[in-house]
Amino acid sequence: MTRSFMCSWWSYLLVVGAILAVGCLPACGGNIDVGSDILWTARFEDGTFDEWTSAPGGGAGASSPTGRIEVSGDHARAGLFAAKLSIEAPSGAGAQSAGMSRRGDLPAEGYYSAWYYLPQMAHVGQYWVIFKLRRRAVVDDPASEGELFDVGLGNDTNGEMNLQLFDHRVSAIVPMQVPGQVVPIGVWFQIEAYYRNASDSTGALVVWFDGQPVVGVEGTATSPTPWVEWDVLNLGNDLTPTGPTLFVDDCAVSRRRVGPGGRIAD
Amino acid sequence: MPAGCLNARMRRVTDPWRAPRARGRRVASLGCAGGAALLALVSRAGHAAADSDHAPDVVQGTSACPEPRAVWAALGALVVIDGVEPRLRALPGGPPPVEVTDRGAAFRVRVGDRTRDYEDTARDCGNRAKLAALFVALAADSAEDPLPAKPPEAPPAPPPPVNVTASQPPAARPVGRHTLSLEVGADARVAIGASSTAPGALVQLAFERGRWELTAGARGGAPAEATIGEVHVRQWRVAAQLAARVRLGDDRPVFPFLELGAVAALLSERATDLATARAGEAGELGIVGGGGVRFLRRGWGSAFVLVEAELDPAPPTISALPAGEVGRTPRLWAGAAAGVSVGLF
Repeated sequence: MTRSFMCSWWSYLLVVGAILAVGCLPACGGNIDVGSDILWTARFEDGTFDEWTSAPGGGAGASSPTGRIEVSGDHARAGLFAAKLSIEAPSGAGAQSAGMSRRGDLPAEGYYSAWYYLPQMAHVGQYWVIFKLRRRAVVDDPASEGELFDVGLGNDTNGEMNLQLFDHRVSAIVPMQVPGQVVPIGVWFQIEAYYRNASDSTGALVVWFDGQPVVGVEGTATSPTPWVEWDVLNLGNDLTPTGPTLFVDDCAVSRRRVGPGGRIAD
Repeated sequence: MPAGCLNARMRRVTDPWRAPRARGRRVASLGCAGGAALLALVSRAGHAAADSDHAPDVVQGTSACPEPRAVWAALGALVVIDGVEPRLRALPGGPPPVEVTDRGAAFRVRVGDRTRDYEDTARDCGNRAKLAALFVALAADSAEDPLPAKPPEAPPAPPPPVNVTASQPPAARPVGRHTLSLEVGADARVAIGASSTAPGALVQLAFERGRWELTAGARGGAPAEATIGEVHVRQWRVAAQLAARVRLGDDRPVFPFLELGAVAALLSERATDLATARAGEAGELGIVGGGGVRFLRRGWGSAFVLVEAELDPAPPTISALPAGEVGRTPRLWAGAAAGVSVGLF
């Protein structure tokens, strides 16, 4: 009798447990998306620059006669499209520029990320800037704008492309923490910067190249005002060949570092 | 046992004491085994009665309620004392063959090596004597006849065995025990590895069969802060639980129990420090095990304290941009609950 009771007891238990299990299994072990620290992205997948131009203070275009921008399917890091930035910058032609910008309405502290693709190597006579931060002395006065930091490309002694950080405050190149970093040709690479805008010594800039911190400026006043401009661009002067093209994709402003493995969209 | 039978607990004896013949008829009509044995004794008893003023050394004890000689006198009203006395003296466990002990709200009767306790908070000494005499008569009837010192003139036939005298009185359901109980209480759960502690409440039904119980119910926790990966979230959780419980040390005032079962939970997470926060829910399925104690047992139920651990083999993942998957919700939850168990049936 005891055995019979135990059998029926456990039978009930198993039946109810099985019902619970079947009912719960479809919802068990899933994923919960709790949100995002991405503040803004531009992936160009709609075939336009609207992600840039529709953002507050955003813009896209060429600031010199030879510059040209377009959304292209020639190369894309993710999806189908990327921005194609073209310039003609022969020696003596001065600075030639094409690109996108976010002016103002950027966080006092944040991460700025963009992916780049160089179809071919170039010789840099003067400069070739692809990532720029600017500042204003007076927030509401465009005339008070000034240069701050330029992340650009140069050539090492072997002719390879390498990364450079130019600090306009002191008009000097900031020494790289990791020398000999070669920028690849024909491969997407990421430049990401943490920028803390501060008028006191808490300001900072740290640059990652494909996830590796390569150069930084910390413990310094970066700007007298909260106004920040970020440009992703193809700005060259005295380049050979004269018309290097640059592809840009998956740009983001975020509160956490994206890194090479991060996702900027669902 | 029919309701009219004398119960081992005196508080259930409601019938007034009757003359032996009338009593014998009543008991026989009820069909009780004990009544049948008593009938057999009475049918052989005649009217020989014990001298109540001269209790032999057969019934002894310091009891004041009932007094040994009152028991002896009551026994004489039931049986032929000359026939019972040799049987009592031949019982193992003496001397004396019968001993009565007054224990205040109860009294104890020992006949040979058999003992029975009766509760009687009213201390009705007369009824105590009669009940003790009945037990003595039944015990004597179940004993074998001693070898006679001389051939009896008319040896009576051996009485039929009486089962009721050989068994202890059926145990009543202990205080605070019910077939179906409602357990309600306060609850607290700790998410191991997520730095989270959530207060809550539980409510469940406990269905009792013997030493086993089947518990089914639900509990929920108030929203609590937690850290998963590097993401701070606010989470709440409700769970339905089905468990088997076994009690240890059933009849003690404080007794422990162990339980093991399955738990299905719904977990909600919402980020608290992301630029864009979203809330999401996911289910969990795991096993739960633990133990506890019940105490303060009263007629309405008891209090309980319970400590549990839940293991979810495949907890949901938490994702947030730009990192993507930042971690999993806790695989292990530990909890404690305290409350009351109220008997429903």
